[in-house]
This record gives sequence, structure tokens and C-alpha cells, in this order.
Amino acid sequence: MKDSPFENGTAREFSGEIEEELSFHVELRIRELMQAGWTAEAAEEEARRRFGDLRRIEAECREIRRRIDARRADSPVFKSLTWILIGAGIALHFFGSVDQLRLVGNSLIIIGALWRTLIYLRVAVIRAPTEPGLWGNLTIERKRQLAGYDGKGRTPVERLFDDEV
Amino acid sequence: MVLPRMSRGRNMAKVKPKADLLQGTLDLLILRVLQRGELHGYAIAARIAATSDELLRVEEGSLYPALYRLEEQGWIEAEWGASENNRRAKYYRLTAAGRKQLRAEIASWERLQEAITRVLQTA
Repeated sequence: MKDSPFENGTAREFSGEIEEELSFHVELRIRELMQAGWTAEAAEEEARRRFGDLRRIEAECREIRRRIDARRADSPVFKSLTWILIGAGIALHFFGSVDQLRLVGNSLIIIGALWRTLIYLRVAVIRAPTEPGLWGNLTIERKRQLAGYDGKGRTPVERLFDDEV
Repeated sequence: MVLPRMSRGRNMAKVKPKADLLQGTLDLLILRVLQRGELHGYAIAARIAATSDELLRVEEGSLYPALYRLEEQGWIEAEWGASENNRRAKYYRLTAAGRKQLRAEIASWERLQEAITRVLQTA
């Protein structure tokens, strides 16, 4: 059996993690089949056949993952925390009895505002369109880079099955 | 619910009939299997197959989208860990909401099973 394309510690994020998970499953299936007496080639072919359309499965998982990440990033808990920070900061700024308290208040306002901005940006990036278009193309390229696609557009899982590699 | 998938050919009687999972039952089986503890995707498929005496076979292509959907619903949660062979693997476990959902799905399944049995016996 070939070594996993993921063992070098790269491609950890987003679709890279999905591919790593699928690759792990396929490798275990190949190992199981080989232990049952299949040749390496036949085991790989059977494992691939059983798994079906890797691209479709990966895309489906990626879409769901994107929704989960967007929801988490946009979590009401985090949003509430930013408003609490800003609120506490404003209260300290106006009602703080000493300069140090007002300084803490200003810091809280800045931290809260920055945090809120980061949440907004993160949600915007996660929800960015993946359809063709300037931003979409950039996103696709970035995701492909993270996922470890090669120049032929093959995913690491597909490379796993490619005899030429 | 399962559909029997009989093998074609002359040796049909010698081959153990397998069953493809109907849509909807996969979620129930995954939740039930995870009730006993956290597992990675391959182990979930293997556990379902082993527990059903190899009668039920999870389509591997539909397993992962189902796991992601369950995670999206908040019924299971995932965490990366080390597998038996020291590879990084993603382990899934049931959440409190998942346990509640499992109870609801089992109750729903029992009602459906009862209804079908009634139809089969009387129609």
C-alpha cells in the first residue's frame, strides 16, 4: 500500500481535512481487503469502487463543513461577548473613577470592536461564493492549495489511487 | 428500514442476502452505534456491518455526508485524535441533543415497523 499523501503534516484545513478523513477510510479498507487475500492493485480498485465518486462526496462534505463553520463563526455567544466587552468598556470609560479604569475601558472597547470585525470578516470569507468570478476563483485556488491539489487537478485521495504516483 | 438485495445468478441460495440501507435509516444506525462511544467513520461502518452479521452494508460514499449532516444538526460532534495505528483520525461522538434525537428516531422507527407489520399481516 502506498504511503498516505497526508502524513507530511500539510493540508490540514478545510477540504484538506475532509480529504485526510476520506483517505484514512480508504486506506483502512485497502488494508482490510489485503488482509483478506486481495492483491494490492485489486484491493485499491475495490476500495475505490466501494467509495464511489470521491469528488462528489468530497464536494458534498465541503459544502456542509462550510455551513457548519459559518454558523460557528457567527455564533450568538461570540457576538454577545463582543457587545459585553464593548459595553463594559464604555461603562468604565465614562464612569471610571481613576485613569487606569478608563484606560482598561478603552482597551475593552478596542478589543471588542476588533473581535467583532474579525468575526464579520471570517463569516464573509467562509460564505464567499465558490462560483466562478474574481473572488470565487481566488477562494477556489486557495482551497485547492490548502487541499493539496496537484497541477492535474487531482485531490490527494485520487493521487493515492493513481499508479503513476 | 432495509431492502433485501438478492444476489443474481444460480448460486443465489448459497450467498447470504445483503441489504442496502434506505434513506433515513443510516442516521438512526449511526446515532445508535455512537451511543456506545466515539468512533471514526470506518469503525462506524464496520460496527454496523458486524452488529448486523454483515447483513447491512453502509454505502461508504453516503456515510461521510451523513456524518457531516448529523454534525451540522448538532447531534454528533467530531474531534481529531490518534487511531490504533497512530494515524490522525476524526472521531465522532454523540451529543446530548443526539441522544435525545436517537430516542425520538427509535420511537419513530418502532411505530413505522409496527405499521408495516400490520399491513403485511392484514392486507
